[in-house]
Amino acid sequence: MDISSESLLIPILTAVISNNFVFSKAFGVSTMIAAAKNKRLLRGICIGVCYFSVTSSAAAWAVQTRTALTDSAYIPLLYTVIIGSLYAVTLIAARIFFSSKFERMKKYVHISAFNSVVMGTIFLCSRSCTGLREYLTFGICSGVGFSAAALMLSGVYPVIYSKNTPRAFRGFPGVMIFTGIISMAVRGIMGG
Amino acid sequence: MADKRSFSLTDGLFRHSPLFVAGWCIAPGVIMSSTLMGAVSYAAVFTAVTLPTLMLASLLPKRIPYALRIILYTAAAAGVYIPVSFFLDGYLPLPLSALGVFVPMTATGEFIVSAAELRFFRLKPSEMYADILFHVLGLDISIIFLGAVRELFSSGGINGELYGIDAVLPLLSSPCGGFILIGLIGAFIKAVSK
Repeated sequence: MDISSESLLIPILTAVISNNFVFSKAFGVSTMIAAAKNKRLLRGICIGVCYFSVTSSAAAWAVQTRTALTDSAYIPLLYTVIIGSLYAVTLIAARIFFSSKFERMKKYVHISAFNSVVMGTIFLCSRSCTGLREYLTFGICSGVGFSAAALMLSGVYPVIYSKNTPRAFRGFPGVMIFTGIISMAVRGIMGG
Repeated sequence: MADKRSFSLTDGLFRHSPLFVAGWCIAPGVIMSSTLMGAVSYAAVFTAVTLPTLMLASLLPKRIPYALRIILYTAAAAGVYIPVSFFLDGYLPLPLSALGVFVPMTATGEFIVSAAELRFFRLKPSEMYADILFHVLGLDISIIFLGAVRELFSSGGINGELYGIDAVLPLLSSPCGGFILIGLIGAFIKAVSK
């Protein structure tokens, strides 16, 4: 294995782990709960999270390659500006190109932009990735990982929130225990 | 019209605990609370960033469009993080660099992005400041309690000092242990509170 393929292997492995962002790092659990409520929300939020994790990764790459900031106190401000700008541009584009659906779209845009999946993705990929391809791969994998987690939760959501579930465990406590069990299974698969 | 919801200023401490009931800040709650020192360090930075940010954010006029307000809230939090990280680093049990990405990610946490608009800023100013304070305090207490319990029962001691606990459960320090413990404590709070 030559050096270039070796240096590409680490970010790809990190990106594979980020498929389990929700279960291994607890990123975006509240967004996942919001997405799992019904099919329309699931589709809208998952597309939104994938879109923002990919575009913000690309934007982070563009900024990272032009600045010397790697691990300083200014980084959160820089990333907040990136996500905020993408959020504003996306809202303006949605208003222009999808004016009839804008009112419905804007709530997905808001939930999808400001969450720990998107912020966590750019923080982690800026620490482990170098090239644009790696950043994009990381962004795609984290968005897909989040979508898979939300899809899993949507399957059991009606049971967790049903009246047959004991009141104490109904809702959020049930979701946490479900997420914990899946996280345990993921840990087992990864050999933890 | 009277508010139908029974409201108490101290809701944030127990009945509406940000971590165990409301489900805010789950990521740091699960990851940063695997040790007591990590939890204390996170709680200190979180408080120092969130309190001034929400105070500043509450001053923004409501006529500013919602989308712009959210951007300003997160930018304010990231701005507050800069002096906080300079002043606090070195005084915390753990250096900021050892706390990973969760500390700088406070800027896009639920307190600032959603709870500010959906709960805090809907209250009267006097109630709002108390509610913010008790919720921040509630998160600090929850995360430190969780840190102590998880470290004690996963390693048999705290900060390297053993307390003679034989039946340790190492899984408790992993994310799955954090998720399940948060769920169980949340269920307990739900069961005992009306």
